[in-house]
Amino acid sequence: MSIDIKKLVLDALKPREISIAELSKAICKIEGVDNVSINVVETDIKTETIRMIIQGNSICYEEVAKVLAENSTALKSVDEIAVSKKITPKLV
Amino acid sequence: MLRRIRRFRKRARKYFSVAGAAELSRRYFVMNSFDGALAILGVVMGAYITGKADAHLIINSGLGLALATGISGFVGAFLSEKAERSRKIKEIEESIMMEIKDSIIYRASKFVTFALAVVDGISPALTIFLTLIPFMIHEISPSALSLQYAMVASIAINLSTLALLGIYLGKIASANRLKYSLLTVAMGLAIVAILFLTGAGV
Repeated sequence: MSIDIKKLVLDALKPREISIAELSKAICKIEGVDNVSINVVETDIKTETIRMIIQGNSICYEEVAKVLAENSTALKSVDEIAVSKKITPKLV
Repeated sequence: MLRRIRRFRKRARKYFSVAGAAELSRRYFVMNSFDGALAILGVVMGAYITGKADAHLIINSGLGLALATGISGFVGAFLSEKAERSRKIKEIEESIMMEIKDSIIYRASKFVTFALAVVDGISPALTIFLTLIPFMIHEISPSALSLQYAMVASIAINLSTLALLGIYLGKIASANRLKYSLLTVAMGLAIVAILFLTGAGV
């Protein structure tokens, strides 16, 4: 049996120097991630609050958090998560 | 090897884009090349109007000037960029309430500080070296190039460098390249004229 994260909706804060194009590409490079969409919710002088929707067949949350840190993006909250369970039938 | 160079170029481009330093590097390059070109033009013309021009002396003075401007440019840019970028990193850390020591912004900042210092150090030294080439040829083989011709060739190279810098400026500004190159060459000619006029009075 394996439980996989299929969808993550994250609220994060990033400096304006980091482009959402680069950030979304960096997240999409993670194994198990298929789609990434980023919306800029709020723009400040130095920062931008973003809402990220990450979808995939097996998203590694720790890896996403690592890529965000690598791109100077602070994770504020996990607003939504979808997981699914897969039972592999045992061969008798 | 070629793949490594390509990878380095790609990373450098990314760092320059993250640190917003492409414009700054162009500015440093033009400003310091211009400085170096005019400084060496002053040395060459100064030597010429004394009437006792000596290729060996001009080369040594020029190389000394290249070294001094190179080191001063490198150290000056490195220290000022380091201070500015450290402040910016602190500001970013405060605004996102997170340490960014392992992030791309931090690495880009460190890389760009060094790269800009190199541009600042090398650009004046390069224009100085170019202007000195005819004198070096004269030193190696005086029969191939007389001192008088070396002097003319040196000034011609210098003015051509200034013209190229002007063209580059015009390209950056997306404006009339000829106008910019005429302006930079006019600056060089003005130095020549001023030194001639003041030198005649000495």
